[in-house]
Amino acid sequence: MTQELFDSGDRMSFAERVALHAFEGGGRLAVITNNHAPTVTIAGTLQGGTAVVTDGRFGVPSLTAAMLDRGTADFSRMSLARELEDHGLQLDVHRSGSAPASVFFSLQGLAEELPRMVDILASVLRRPIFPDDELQKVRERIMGVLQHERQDTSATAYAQLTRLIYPTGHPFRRREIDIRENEVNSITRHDLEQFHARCYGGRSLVCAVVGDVVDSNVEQLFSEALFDWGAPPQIMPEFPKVETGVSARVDTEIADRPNLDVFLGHAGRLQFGDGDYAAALLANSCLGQSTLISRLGVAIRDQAGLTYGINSDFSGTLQIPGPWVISLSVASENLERALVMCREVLDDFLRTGPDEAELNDERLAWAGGYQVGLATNVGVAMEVVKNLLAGQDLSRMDRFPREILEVSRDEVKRALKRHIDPERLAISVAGSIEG
Amino acid sequence: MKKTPFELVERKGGVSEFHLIHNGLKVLIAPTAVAPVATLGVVYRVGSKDEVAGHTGATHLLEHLMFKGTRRFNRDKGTEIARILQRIGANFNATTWLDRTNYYATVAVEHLETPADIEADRMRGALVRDEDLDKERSVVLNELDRGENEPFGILLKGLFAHAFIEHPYHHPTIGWRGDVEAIQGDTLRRFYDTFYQPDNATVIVSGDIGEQPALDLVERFFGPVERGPGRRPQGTIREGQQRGERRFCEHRAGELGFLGCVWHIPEGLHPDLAPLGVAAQILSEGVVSRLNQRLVETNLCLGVHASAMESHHPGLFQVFATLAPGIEHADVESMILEEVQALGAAVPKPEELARAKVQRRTDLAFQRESPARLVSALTEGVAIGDWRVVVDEMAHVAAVQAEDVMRVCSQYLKPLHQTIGWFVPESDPESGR
Repeated sequence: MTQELFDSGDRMSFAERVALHAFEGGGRLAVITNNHAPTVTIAGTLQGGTAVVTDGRFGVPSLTAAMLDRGTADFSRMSLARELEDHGLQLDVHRSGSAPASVFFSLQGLAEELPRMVDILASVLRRPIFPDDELQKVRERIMGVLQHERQDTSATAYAQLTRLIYPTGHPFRRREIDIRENEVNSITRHDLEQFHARCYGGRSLVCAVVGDVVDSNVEQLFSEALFDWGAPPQIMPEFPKVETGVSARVDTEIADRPNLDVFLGHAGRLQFGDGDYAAALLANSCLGQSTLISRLGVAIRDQAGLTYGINSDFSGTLQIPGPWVISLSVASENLERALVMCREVLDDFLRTGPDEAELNDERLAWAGGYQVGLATNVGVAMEVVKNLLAGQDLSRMDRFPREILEVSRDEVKRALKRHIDPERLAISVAGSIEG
Repeated sequence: MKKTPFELVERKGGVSEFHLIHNGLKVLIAPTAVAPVATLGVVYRVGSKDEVAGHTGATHLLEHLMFKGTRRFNRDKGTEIARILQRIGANFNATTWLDRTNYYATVAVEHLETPADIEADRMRGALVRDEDLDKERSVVLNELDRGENEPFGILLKGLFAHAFIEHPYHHPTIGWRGDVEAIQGDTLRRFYDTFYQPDNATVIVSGDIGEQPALDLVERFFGPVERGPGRRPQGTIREGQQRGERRFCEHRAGELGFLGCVWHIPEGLHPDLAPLGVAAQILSEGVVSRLNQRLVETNLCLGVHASAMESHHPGLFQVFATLAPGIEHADVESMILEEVQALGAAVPKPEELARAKVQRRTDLAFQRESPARLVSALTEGVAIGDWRVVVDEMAHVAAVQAEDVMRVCSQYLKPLHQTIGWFVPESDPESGR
């Protein structure tokens, strides 16, 4: 049965195999049966990320998510941990830097544990109690993580880049560590309770269950646990306007870090589901998807030997467009040469666009890679959630490989001009730049 | 009737082992129809343990050069390996470790011929050109720099270098910088001819493909591969018994302290590895584990991890901790050692043993969900000496008794056998580069 699920031809399509359910509170549930392994994956999201804050306190959503498994009305921190670990379950709740409107969660285990998994999920999402002692522990832990980030060349360089690109108050701007430390210490249990009450609810809940399950059982379990879960209406706040035409560079010296992390980029505008989404992905792929065969990789790694890794990426296309970024690692003595070469490759690519042969390679890579990405339950679950979150029909999962094969070179060139602008490139470097 | 070119060695746990009689190639087939994809992997039984002084890093550098071209797949012909694999949407890569080098690709099952063709060609047809080495050397040096940015990587390198004095596990897989800077093409070509041979390799196929079609594929592409000129060196270096604690401190710029403790344990196929693995789980797997309760839930550490290394030759039981700001290394070290010694002094609680077993059972079920994960597990089994450890693992873990855990901890995790390393962050250290 499941083997057919992924096949095309005269077999049933993805859209036909997915059972979709809507809850009274607004939540949506997709169920896909795959009984080739005795496992189940629950993956989902709701709108509880940094982009929904209205007072600039971006640490509140992060702390709320971090506290969900530290005590609920049904479980203490320890009893929840035992319930998970004694049954081999793995729970993860996290905020995503590239999708700042959302909080993502997943729970994986043996299929026989599904009833327990749904109970735990409902408890964690609906009934957290944010105990003061656990909040203090999480605060201290975050302070340690932020301390570590001061020496992390990649995190430092990327954060500096976002500060060159985005104004204060924008959800893609990563604030200075001092500011984040002060904020973490100021956040109270009341702040978290208020945020949870305002943002967490079935209204924005999107959930996929994939594995050795029966749809009707899954629907019943979720109905009992989450059917009536609603939430007040929520409006995404307006973000500060992003200045265009900004081109700047910042270097951050960090001692004893012989490898430099380098980011070049500008604010992006691409969103999942846009008419030119596939064309823009292809344009970026030809330029920098692969360290080994894309233009940047061929010139700067393969031919010049200057870097172990160089890629370009639209960093965030779900709900709020994030930056378009080139990232590379390089030794200090090769930094300036690598930057010059990046610019030369980019200028040349923008002048000519991809040739038909390299474009066709990327079309085939995306079409084939999409199928490979759906090879596991978690891969399928995440793709279903992504499509539902972006308001896409799940038939897109069947159409996408075909659609990307049909994107023309002219469409790619137009997308390239629209989405990538070398005149706006900001540059950020972190590491032992002075050698 | 056509004579089969394969000898069936064994079927076990959904995995079948064959030998290609003509050239000695080993083949593992593990069908799983979870999705219409398949993974093909090749593992060569050569790793950094096979390198000699002055040539450290050769295995890893050679792995890089294996993407630079073969007689049939190269840039000059517009058929470079990465591009051909990318074109079919493959998820592909290669890795080098102490005991093995492996290449793999996960593809839609109808494209499985492509990685089979490429891997068969580069088994004996890699070019390993000097001009490619010149460029790839600086790529690898940048990779080496990246490792030097990471306190954990620095600590790991130091622990192996101190715990192993005679055995080549002493040096890092990426090699010492001076060796990577100096190694010559002739050395790599000799290395290639010595170790990249069909009778030193195992091809692993898993996914939505039956046993016979998979064997047909292997025969078609790997059957014509002839043995090359190299002969592999025999014998191994045995690490002498450690007779006293060893320790070191690495002072570098940083914000957080890191700490590592290791002890010598037997090779991966030894029956004591299963109880040692359970001991590692009891120490650090999950919130309720002993070290998490003692160090992480109390905010003395940001993280702690224990593992029993499974390697071809005797390896290390490892515990690593990331210290919270302001916490002293000595305090964390004494708590880790107390918890480790406690495991050797009393049997673990029944619930600790049961928890470790159910966690392992779940992990193994997820391993079977993904052809890529199954090939990866079988690759490590081959590297340590027998793929059967993968299919026998659950039975071995299920058989572990509380007394076994106490026995192996008291036998192996002794103070006289331990090596301890501290990464000490300083605001103005002398640069050691």
